[in-house]
Amino acid sequence: MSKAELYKFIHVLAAIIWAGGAATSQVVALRLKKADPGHRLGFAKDMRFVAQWLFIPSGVIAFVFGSLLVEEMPAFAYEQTWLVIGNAGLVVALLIAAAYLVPHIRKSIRLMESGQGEAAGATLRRVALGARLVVLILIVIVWAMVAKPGL
Amino acid sequence: MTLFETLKLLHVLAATIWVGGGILQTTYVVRSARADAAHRLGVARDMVFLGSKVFGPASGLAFIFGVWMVIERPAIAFGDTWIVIGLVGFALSSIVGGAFFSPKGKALLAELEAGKPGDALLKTITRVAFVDQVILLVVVWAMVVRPGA
Repeated sequence: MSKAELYKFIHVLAAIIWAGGAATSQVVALRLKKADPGHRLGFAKDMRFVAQWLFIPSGVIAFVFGSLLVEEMPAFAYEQTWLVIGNAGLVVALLIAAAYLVPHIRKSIRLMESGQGEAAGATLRRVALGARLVVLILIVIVWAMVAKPGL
Repeated sequence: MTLFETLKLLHVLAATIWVGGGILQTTYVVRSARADAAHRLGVARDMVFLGSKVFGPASGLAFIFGVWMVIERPAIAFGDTWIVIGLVGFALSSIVGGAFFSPKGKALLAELEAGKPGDALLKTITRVAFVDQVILLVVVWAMVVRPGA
């Protein structure tokens, strides 16, 4: 396996973990409306864990190894449209996840633990909207990586 | 976008949900070992739902669009090593999904709904989930590195 293939494998794997995990989380989140409070709190704690320790690190790894791949491949340049879309999308998605989603998930957990179910529900609805936006951005990035416009 | 690029996008999206969602679910299942009964039951219900309504269809779509891509592109053949690895991995993971995860997931759900902790089943499901993830990682590696192409 060449260096470029290794970088591509790690880049793709990290992207799969983030994009596939985020999309699947949305499906589980939709089911929470009918869930009991114990599962809702447990899911919020799981989301805090996966966002912090799985999705954000995966996003960073995808970005780092994607950049290493660009450096390794003479045909790739950062100003190509598909890479501009990929880099811009990744940065925006990471910022939304780190600066908005994680703090709001923490807040919803605090509210649930203090018995403020209604306020927690409102916060979780905002989290769901932000998370859907991230999934949408990730789908656009996947499209750019597959179709490679500008290459 | 060409037909081939469209098929590739759909194949990649379906595979991403299948593999990435599977890794996420394995994480949830591992964490549920220390969770309270209500959350563990919720995770088991989600697991059964995701298996039949999300991962099953996603793996089927990844397979269909992958096969279509091979038919569409003359340079790719079903006998290529990377395609063989992909097809064997798909078959193995589908067998594990249909013959193990589906019945064991339902059995776990039944145990939890009956008020039992389901520890032994949860441990077995977690172990097999790790094996399934390794199979899928090999498939992803084959799709990226394309040995024999």
